[in-house]
Amino acid sequence: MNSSSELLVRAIDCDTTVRRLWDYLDEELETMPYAEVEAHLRDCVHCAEHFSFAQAFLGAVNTSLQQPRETGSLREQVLNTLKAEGFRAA
Amino acid sequence: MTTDRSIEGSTEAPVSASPERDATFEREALACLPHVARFARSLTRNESEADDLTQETFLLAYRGYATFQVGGDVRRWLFSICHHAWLRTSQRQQRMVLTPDGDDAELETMGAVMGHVAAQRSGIDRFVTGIDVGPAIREAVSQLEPNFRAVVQLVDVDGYAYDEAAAVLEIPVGTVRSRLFRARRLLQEALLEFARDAGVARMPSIMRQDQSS
Repeated sequence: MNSSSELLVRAIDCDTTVRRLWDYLDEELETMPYAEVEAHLRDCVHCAEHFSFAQAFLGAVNTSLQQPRETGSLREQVLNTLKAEGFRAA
Repeated sequence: MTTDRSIEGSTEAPVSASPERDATFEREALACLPHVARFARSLTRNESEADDLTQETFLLAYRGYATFQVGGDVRRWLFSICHHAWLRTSQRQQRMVLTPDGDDAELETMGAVMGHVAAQRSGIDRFVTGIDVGPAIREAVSQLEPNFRAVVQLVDVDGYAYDEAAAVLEIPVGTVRSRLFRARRLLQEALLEFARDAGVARMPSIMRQDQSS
């Protein structure tokens, strides 16, 4: 069932897996530790639930804070400041 | 005194302004205005101060634009200038509140997971993913210390890698991790508290019924 490359991946326990939660979701892990977490998540529904919740949480944070600021008047203020420095807008 | 002008921008007027240079600045740097304004807001927590900080950032950037390396990440460069300007202002106003960084990053991660375990037991976790949590998150973020807000903004919103955020804030990558993980744990706690306040924990059966309909 497993490919030969998967056989090389060391099995890790739940504790080790969840310690890598944020690093894994942020794609900050090296190739092997990343693969170890992936392999564990395929077999462990409890850890998979933690990761799924954390991923949804990060998505909610991103969406909630993404709102672009209305910068129309601020752009005018910035341009005026720059023009006083000799800036010539196109 | 030596000053890294490539990071700080410049307090002096530009050496030689040119229409081409100005056009490039407008196209490359000014296009980042919404991002810089948002980052400034995450640092100051105050609309008016954020606008002042944004203006100062672009003034310093314009003055030091000749030192910007063509092909570099202009948005990251602007964030660095903005952060420097904010630090200077904060120190001048003696408002800098030194807070300990997050505890060990792994402990913070485990704390977040344990929070989820508790939420699972009371059924809150399902509720959290099914409602508009935006207001709760924004309120919780506004309660974070500026140093923690800045990391959340750079990594969780602007999508920077840990080492890139570390470069902007001029702190070690390990500090980015510990601040980020602590901030996430605090935000998650606030979120779960929000759900609890909504009475969900006391009505798990009703909640499941609502979700299944």
